[in-house]
Amino acid sequence: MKKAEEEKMKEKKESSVENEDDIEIIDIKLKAEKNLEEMKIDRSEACG
Amino acid sequence: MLENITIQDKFYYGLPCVWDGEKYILLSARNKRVIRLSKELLVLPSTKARLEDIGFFKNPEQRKNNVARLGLILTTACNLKCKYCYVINDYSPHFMEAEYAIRILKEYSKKNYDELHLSFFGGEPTLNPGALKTSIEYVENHWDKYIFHITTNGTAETSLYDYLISKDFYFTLSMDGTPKINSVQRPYSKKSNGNYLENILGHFVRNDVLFQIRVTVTSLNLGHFPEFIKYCADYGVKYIHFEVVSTNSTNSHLLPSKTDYINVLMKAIEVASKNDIFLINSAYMNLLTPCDHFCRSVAGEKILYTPDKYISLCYKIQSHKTKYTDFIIGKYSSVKDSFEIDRERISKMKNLSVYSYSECKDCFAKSICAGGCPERNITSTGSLGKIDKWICSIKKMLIHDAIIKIYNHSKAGKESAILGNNYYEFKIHEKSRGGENERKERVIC
Repeated sequence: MKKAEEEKMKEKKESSVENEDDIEIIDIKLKAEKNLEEMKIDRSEACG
Repeated sequence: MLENITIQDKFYYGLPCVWDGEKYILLSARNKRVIRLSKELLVLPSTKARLEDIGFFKNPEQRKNNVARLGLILTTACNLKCKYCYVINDYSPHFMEAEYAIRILKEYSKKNYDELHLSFFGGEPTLNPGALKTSIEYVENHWDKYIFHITTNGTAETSLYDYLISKDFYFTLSMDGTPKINSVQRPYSKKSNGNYLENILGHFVRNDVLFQIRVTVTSLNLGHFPEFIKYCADYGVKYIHFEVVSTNSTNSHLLPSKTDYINVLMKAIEVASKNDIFLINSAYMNLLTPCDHFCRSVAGEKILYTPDKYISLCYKIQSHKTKYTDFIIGKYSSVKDSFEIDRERISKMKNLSVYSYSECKDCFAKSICAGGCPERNITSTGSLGKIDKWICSIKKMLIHDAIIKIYNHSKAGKESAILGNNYYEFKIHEKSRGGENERKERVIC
């Protein structure tokens, strides 16, 4: 649990760093913050 | 050449990586982040190590819930005559009997699954209201947690839609343009001016129904697409799912030119963004949910029951009379009162993952497009093992553009219109939460 929290903190810290070494890291703006895989409903009608 | 846009794009240790003209942009579904960096930095081992360190290459979270997913093709009959229709009605249309629908549903039990996702499809499924209502009642009486969905052309009586709304359905409303354009591409003898669509659109929006408009884009309606998005926005529509038509030798004139298609789409995305419309397309669906298979059915996670009592892996294969028999994976035996499943065929179809196509081997978009629709591939190339090159080059361009747009939008603190599918699925998921006990009574106006 502690390790997971540490990892989360580390990720969060990294995400706020921009332009370091000319690598720009940006969080994707998304309203649906849940597990996207869990929510996948139906993609079988995607044909033309 | 439009194709040259994607020439420098790469598959970077499992992630899509696109060249925006100055730098590379990498998309990580696991991290829900984009990274922009120079060509020189991209090739450094220390860059990969750093990205690894922040979890950029981890696989996305996996699903934990066990969901029974099935589709009932209630009838092959339809009251429209779409110019691109794929349904085979060589003699007379088939209708699924209500008793047979129940027999199918009895194959699934809440003892084995956490949840049921049931879709109704056609033809036009509302032309078989008996089987539709019987199925709904059965599910309500036997399941605690479920989601209902229907794809309809909007021609049914409002009272039937109200009944479905009261059952908390979410809808796919097929509509290829404003009523005038729609009636050219999807003629309806009885209500040829297409005004029935305006009634149902207004009704859905007024009642806060969760729905998407499903547009099939052809050479006939392509030029009107941006204008149609504005029209939908004025009605209060939130989600538009568009796909380019799948053609064969008899209707290839309906396929727009690549340049026209891309140019109009770019304009359409702009109009959608300005009007708070989310666009849904197969090129965008898996940007944040990478996958090996194009659709759930071929992956073996969803099966479809045809009215002639066969089991199909594709909504377009609605009868055993298809020439693409690989998609038919079973049938009902009335003598044994059981479903006979062809496991070998299921396995063959399941093998149609992105790893099976040699053309996809080094493609930057492989985990997003997953080789494309197998039915479309066989229709276009004559083989399940080959990919449709027309749609392949289009999707590469769309995915390339989408990743750049996600970067630009996220940098500006905005949600991208092309991530609509994730938000739409989130809204559907909300509908099912808590199951029957938490369903609210609806007042329909």
